[in-house]
Amino acid sequence: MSNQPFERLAGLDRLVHEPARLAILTALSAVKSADFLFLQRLTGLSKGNLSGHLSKLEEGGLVAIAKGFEGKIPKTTISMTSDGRSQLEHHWNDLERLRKEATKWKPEKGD
Amino acid sequence: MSATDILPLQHIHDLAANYSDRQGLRIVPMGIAMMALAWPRPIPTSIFGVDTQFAALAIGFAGYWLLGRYYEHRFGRVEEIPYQGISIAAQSSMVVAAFMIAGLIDVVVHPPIFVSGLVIAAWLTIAAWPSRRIRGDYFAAGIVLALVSLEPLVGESHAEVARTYGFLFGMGLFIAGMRDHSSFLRSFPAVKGDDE
Repeated sequence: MSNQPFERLAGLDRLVHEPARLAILTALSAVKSADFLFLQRLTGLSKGNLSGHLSKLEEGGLVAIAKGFEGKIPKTTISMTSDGRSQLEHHWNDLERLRKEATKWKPEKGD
Repeated sequence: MSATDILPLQHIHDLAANYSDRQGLRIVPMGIAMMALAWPRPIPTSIFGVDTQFAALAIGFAGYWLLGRYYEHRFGRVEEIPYQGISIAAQSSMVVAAFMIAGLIDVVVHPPIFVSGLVIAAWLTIAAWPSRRIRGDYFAAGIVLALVSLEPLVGESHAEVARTYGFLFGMGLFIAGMRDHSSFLRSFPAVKGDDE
């Protein structure tokens, strides 16, 4: 049965659903923008890991990354795009719908 | 990285949305300054030729700014979404303006209540409201200070009420600031090295 919630769980957008990226997007959804250090401290990710996740999110059009200097110190500021906000909202709605379906789900005979 | 390495998402959202509010150390210098000014023993009216009240408030504001730089340097910078569309700078200006007008009313009109005290109490209560789940102590402090502001109704002099209020407010800032800072530090997971 293709409509089973557990099967549809696998169809969630992995760009958003991956735990580290979901944490980054959740933090960015609560602010206008944040710098790299803040996201690193908040998620506990290493610099390399965080850079990798941010690159993927930027490629997917979910976040915008602005690089600049403050005096001689490089500063990277990240903000969520409007597309990113709507995709995150859409993702939460999907999860909520799946949660409700999963609580109602009864295994068919032979499952 | 597994899902268990990451803070609960609701916690991440709360921390990011209330980032500047949670930087408790910033209000500690002002708390100490207010307690010093309201101390029951008389303090000198000037220190090195500078008015003591002015000096204490200047130290409080300078501490607030400097400790803001400390948080920015250690935990990063965030541009917050203005609450109800009003920027934080505009909100602060509105509170300062309301406090100054109320102080003028206290001095000129001598109303039967401590109006400037009520303004601060109202501000604390309102500021804590949207995030009262994590700012319950500010909400409670607002209620206590509002009650102190009504003390002139039962015969206390304005000067005595202002002193009690200043001391309680300073102590509240100090305790809440230290608590917020401690909870702020515990909120962040340990950062992993790039070699992991």
